[in-house]
Amino acid sequence: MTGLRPLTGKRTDPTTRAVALMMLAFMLLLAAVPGVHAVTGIQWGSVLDFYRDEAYVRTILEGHFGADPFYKGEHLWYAPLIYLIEAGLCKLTSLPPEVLLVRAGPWLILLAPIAFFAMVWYFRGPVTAVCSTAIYLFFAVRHEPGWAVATYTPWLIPVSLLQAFFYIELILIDKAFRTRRLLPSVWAGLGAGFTFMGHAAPGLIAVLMIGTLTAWDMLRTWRAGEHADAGRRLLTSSTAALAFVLASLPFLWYVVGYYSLHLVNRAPFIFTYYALTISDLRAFLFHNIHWVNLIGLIGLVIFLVEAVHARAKSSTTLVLWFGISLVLFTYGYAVSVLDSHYDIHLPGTAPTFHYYFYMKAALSVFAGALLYDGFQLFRRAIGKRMRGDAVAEGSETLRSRVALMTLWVIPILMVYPSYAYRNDLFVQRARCIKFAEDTLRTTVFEWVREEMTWNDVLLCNADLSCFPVMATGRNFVCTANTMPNPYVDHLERYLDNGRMLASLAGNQVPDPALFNKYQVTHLLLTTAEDRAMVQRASLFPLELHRNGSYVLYARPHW
Amino acid sequence: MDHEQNKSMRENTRPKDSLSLRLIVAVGILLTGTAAILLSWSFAVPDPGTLVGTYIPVPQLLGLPSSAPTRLTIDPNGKMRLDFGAGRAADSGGVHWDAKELTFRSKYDSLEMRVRVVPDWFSYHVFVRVHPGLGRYEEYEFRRL
Repeated sequence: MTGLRPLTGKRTDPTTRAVALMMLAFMLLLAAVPGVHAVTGIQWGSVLDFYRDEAYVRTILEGHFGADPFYKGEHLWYAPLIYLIEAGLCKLTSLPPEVLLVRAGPWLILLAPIAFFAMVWYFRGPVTAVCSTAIYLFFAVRHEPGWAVATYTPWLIPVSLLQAFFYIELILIDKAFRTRRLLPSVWAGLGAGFTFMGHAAPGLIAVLMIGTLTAWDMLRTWRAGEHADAGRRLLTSSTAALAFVLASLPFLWYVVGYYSLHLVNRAPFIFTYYALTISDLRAFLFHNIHWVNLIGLIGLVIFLVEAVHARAKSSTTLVLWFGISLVLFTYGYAVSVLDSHYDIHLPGTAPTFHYYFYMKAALSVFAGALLYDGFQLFRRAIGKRMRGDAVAEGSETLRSRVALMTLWVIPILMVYPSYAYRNDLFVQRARCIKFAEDTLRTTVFEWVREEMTWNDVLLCNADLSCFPVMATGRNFVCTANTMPNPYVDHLERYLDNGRMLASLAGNQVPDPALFNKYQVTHLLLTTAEDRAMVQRASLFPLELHRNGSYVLYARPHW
Repeated sequence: MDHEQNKSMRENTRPKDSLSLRLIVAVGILLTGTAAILLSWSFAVPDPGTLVGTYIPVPQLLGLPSSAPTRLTIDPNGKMRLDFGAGRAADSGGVHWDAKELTFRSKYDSLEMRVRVVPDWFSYHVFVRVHPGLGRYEEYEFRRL
């Protein structure tokens, strides 16, 4: 399998490069059209991530960068890069955040397959880039949601967009460890910092990759007696670490400076995607017993052999990417199981599906590389049989390279109709439509935006806090446990939220102390809740808005 | 000398550096034509009348869970019925065909139960999505009996 050569892209001819780029454009077009179709006419996203993101974008647009949009007086806790980009686009296009977040997805997330293609081209050349990108786009996703599998999706949530940064960062890491010059390491550190600013999980993978490669290089050179080289590596990687801190400072400033990375609410990172739970093992197998994963795993073994025996740096980088994702996935899973079943609390990182996501991306690379090499082996075998003479390795012709790239048209053609209506597009769109159908609920969004200012705090049940309140960028007392600031005690807020609502439905006039503690200024109820809140008028006498399902009250200045 | 010889060998094995315009134009025509066919065919709206019939789940490698529906019936009026076995059934009642979304929808259970029709080249794939609760869903592919 010597066809697995590192960095072959620089040796290819311009026709191969041109055809590879044409194939990329062809695949992007076919991926983007159903994506644009899926978001057409959609006003609201359907998953909580949209509302969290929208709140952060509003926070930036209103000049409160660094503040937690949910809990008054708290600080930024989510990686802010995507919000800065989205807020910039809102300014640029004058679109309201809720519209921009839904409609910009199909265009912005095209960066992900482009970066993936560039990354594979860098490591394995343009033909493998076409093979791997075809798998990544059309064959890896099947019935799973786009946020669980590395692929193109039109839904603009951080995990899907920020994968693009990670793929570029892989190139920067590889370049940094091919030399002991300072500048490539600075770029790798900056890349890791920006990736971390976009999402903690890929940022962590990148940091651990740099750390592992540094330790390995230092150990190897030190053992060989090349002490100066070991020292040089320490210097370059320290510089990379400094660049990382500088690039991610707007985020680290808050999560380290204010919260010391002390996670109190564990629900966000012990959340486990249903297809990764033991109870849903059937779902896991249903989604994963698939030729892409099988070929990808065989490709992984070959890359591993090449990394160990041939010491090919590019293979080492790619195998390390998969390996660290697997380790973090296993660790995250152990954290989740120990927390949920044994009440043992290990430090957490991010939900396990993020690492599953990056393992799947690596498998697409391995599968594409293996198919390319398999095709070349097949071609040589056929040539030998037909002509009776051996065809030398590495002698692939322009025609064979172009043939392999354009042959992908056939499998894409076969799966395309069902791809264009895949679960990721269809179910999310159906949910979006369902949300928009509840106009009484979406009207509440307008009320809250109209009546509440930045310093106001709303009391409501957890369901209403998720939608529509979360999207407004206005403070509330408590929300669903997987969404809020993980550095703040969720349980205390959850219990207090329940106590305040219960006191409004009690027999006695509620004590305002708890309401004052959270500086509650407004109350949002369903009409069913409103009928039970017999003490409501004592604290919230002002009715601001009412429709058939909801009512918004205000508390006089206190 | 070695250096020169190596350079010469590299150049001999290096692919031609000229652009093959004829090949590029041929590939361009192939890709443009394929994209045009795919994009026009894939968004064709199916005729609901062709979907009338009885469907059963496509067997899965590990068998189907007990929560899976066992039969789907679509009648000529566009109503559908899901049987779950053991006499349990979900009659869709007022389901209507949403041609724009390629799905059967009812006003109130659109999140809980959906039948998704996925066009394929010469037939349709029918996927039934059930919602066993706790934010989970299961989707099964059905084939016509």
